[in-house]
Amino acid sequence: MEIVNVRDLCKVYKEKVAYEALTNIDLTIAKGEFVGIMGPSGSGKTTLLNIISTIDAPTSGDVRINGQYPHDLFPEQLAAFRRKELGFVFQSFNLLNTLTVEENILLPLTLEGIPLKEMDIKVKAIAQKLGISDILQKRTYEISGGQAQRTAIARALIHDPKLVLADEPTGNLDSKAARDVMELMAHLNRTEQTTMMLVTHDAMAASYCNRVVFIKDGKFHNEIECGESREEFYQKIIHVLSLLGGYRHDVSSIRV
Amino acid sequence: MTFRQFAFRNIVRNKRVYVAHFLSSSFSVMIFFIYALLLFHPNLQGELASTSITISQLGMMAMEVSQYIIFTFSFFFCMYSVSAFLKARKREFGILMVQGMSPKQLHQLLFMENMMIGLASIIVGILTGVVLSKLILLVSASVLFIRNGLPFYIPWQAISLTALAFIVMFLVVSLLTSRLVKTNQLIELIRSADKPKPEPKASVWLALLSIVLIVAGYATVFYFALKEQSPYILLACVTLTVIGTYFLFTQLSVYVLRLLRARRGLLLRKTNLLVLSELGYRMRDNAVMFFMVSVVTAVSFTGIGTSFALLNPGLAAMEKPYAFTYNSLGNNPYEEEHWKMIENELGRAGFEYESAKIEVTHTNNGEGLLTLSDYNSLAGMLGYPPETLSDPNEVLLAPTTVFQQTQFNKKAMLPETVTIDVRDSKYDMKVKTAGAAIVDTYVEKVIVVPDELAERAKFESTEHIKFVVKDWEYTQEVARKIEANLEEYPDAKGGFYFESLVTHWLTSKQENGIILMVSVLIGIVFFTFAASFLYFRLYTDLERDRQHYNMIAKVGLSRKEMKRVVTAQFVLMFFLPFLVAVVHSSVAFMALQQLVSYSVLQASILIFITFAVVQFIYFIGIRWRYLHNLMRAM
Repeated sequence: MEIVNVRDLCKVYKEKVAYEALTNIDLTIAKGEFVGIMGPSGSGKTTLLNIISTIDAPTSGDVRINGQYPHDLFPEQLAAFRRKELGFVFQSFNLLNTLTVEENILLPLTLEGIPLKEMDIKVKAIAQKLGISDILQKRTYEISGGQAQRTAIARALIHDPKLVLADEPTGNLDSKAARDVMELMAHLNRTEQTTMMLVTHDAMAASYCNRVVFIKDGKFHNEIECGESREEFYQKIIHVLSLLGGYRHDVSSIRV
Repeated sequence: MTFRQFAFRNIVRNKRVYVAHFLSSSFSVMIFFIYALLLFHPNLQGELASTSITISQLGMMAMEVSQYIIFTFSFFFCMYSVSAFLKARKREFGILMVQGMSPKQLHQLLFMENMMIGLASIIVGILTGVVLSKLILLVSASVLFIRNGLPFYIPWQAISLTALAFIVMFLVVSLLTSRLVKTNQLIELIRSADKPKPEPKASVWLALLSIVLIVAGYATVFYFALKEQSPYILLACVTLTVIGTYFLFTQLSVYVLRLLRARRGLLLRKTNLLVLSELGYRMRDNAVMFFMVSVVTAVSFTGIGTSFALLNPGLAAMEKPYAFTYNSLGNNPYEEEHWKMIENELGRAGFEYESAKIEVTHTNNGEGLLTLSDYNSLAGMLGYPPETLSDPNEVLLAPTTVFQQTQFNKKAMLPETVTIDVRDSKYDMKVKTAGAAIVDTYVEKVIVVPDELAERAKFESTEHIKFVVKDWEYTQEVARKIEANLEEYPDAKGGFYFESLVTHWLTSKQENGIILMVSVLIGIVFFTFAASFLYFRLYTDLERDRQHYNMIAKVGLSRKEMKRVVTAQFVLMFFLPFLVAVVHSSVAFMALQQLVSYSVLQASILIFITFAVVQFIYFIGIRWRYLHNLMRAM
């Protein structure tokens, strides 16, 4: 069953000089898949994620998520769609620092108006799974980057979304925390069958995906699938990136 | 966590961000409340009493105009504060919407927040207003030696008006602010934090328009002073000047800065690059605030200046140049006796004085006729040259009040001919000129005629003995004695009536004191209002500025240079609006000068200096706090 179905997607920014960020992109993500999107800076990968996540609107083409066309929805329906079907993880965590960790995780349920008892059960369960039970009462400025990203993942998953979208989730983390976060995501993908889409320029992070799609200059470049070994997959990713150019310096220091 | 809990926690835990907005809202509530308190004060109901009718009317007009201004400004102040506050939180709204908050819920959240803050600030504002007004009433009454000052009262009317006005206002503001957040462009909200600001732009035409509007406003105020005193013209003048000032700050200032930036020699000299480029943004970001500050300051200057001039002791003498007047109606047998008695009392007290008797004949139209010789004796006492009438058909017009005197001085108000209708005959006379000396009797129009004509026309007349006394301010004791002496005489057939300037002056001083107190209060309140605008604005920007200077410091800006950059900007921020306000109110004073015959120069200079000193202290204080905060981060 397909969760994401993107067909013939184009995005043109109409500024002083019109600029085509995405050209004829097709992408399908099946249920339970973990797909990575990679590409050099300015290739349009974040634009693609923003459009799929309904933050930005496409110029032309279709985006279908779990059988619905979210860009055709009215604002109220769209908000309901976001909080029921989607979960977000950002590079900068985007936690609200006025709320405690627990309250941040509960935010989507609060907006939905879920009964308090159900909230308590859910937050306990997910905090246990992500190993953040101890910090639930802390405020966001009292926790580390890795903990903040776990909190953000918990917030993205608490309402059992159909699709989790992650935009450079490891970008602000050190390599140890980054690996922990990626392992956690891969684990959740396997055990909960959560469909995930990851945008990154970090080959290490991308190597946790089932499949990596490369785009360059807003166009589909190629895609590779993970075989038996993650190490092998990582090497393949590095190889494609070096063909795309502009990555040598980025990856040379990363060891797996 | 329910939605309402979420909204509440969002405020309570984010105090630092909300506190500026909350304080500014409470502040406007407080000011409005103090104003309402004065407006509904039982002692200030009806026409404001004062020595001069002109000033009374001006005072009432000013109170009315400032009532509208204060409400409009409270409204703008709140709108401004809310929108500045919302701009800073765009990213937060983006996150919330990504998490699935619907536009409806966002509006609900903003509405709840605004109403929570609004209600809290209404309560706090009114409470501080009550406490403060008691204090202000007490202090000002004792400082101004007002015996019958304004007593404190429980102002239910003022409380309910303030509460009602601001509940409505916060409702409107809450509804409008929801519109300010563009919920359909999520990408804009999320990116807003790191989007670089576009270069400030200004239109040449609007910049020119600002000058045209201000000049037109100035012209109108002179039209008001010289030609037609109508509140509509005054309102038109205020409106023109206010709009002109708005464009002055939003367009002209930005435009001038852009011209300066274009001169590379100037721009690339030392810290000029930083000062000029930052000023461009600061000007545009704060233009609305500068505009409000200068208008509010100008209003308070003009208000205080007008009422300061009011207390001038010469004013009472101008309206009534005679220290004592003894009026005889009909056949008064005691006239000669009383005249002697008053002269004796004055002589015994050691005052230098002059006195003269005049006789005013009443025409059928209610005018008074005065002989030329009587007029000349009055003019002589007041130190004016004597007048002559060469033609038997010529007359003079003598002013009865200061107001008439100023009107006569503008020759346009002087008729060319008058018809004297007395007894059974009518005389068509030519008006030669207006007399300089004021002749105040019971009639509103006094015509000075040749002695022969007065003799012929003699009909019903009243007699007045006028006294001019040097140092009349100290004649209170003498006046009391004379009044006591006069009380011993039984009522004659004709009757007599004694007036003394000093009694008149002292009672009016009490009454004027109330007007003065009200306007000084309003002026101070406005001025504080203006100063807090600046403070809250800086408070909001502090975090951003800290990062900004921190970054430049890394590139190699020394502390000394940073201080210089900040000081240069602060000087402009504090004193540009002040300067504009000084120019505006100077023009207002010049126009006021046309209306009254005493000088308002001294009062206005005194006010400018006082406020400049206060502003300077304020500048030093804020600059010190601000630099202290910036340095901490460096």
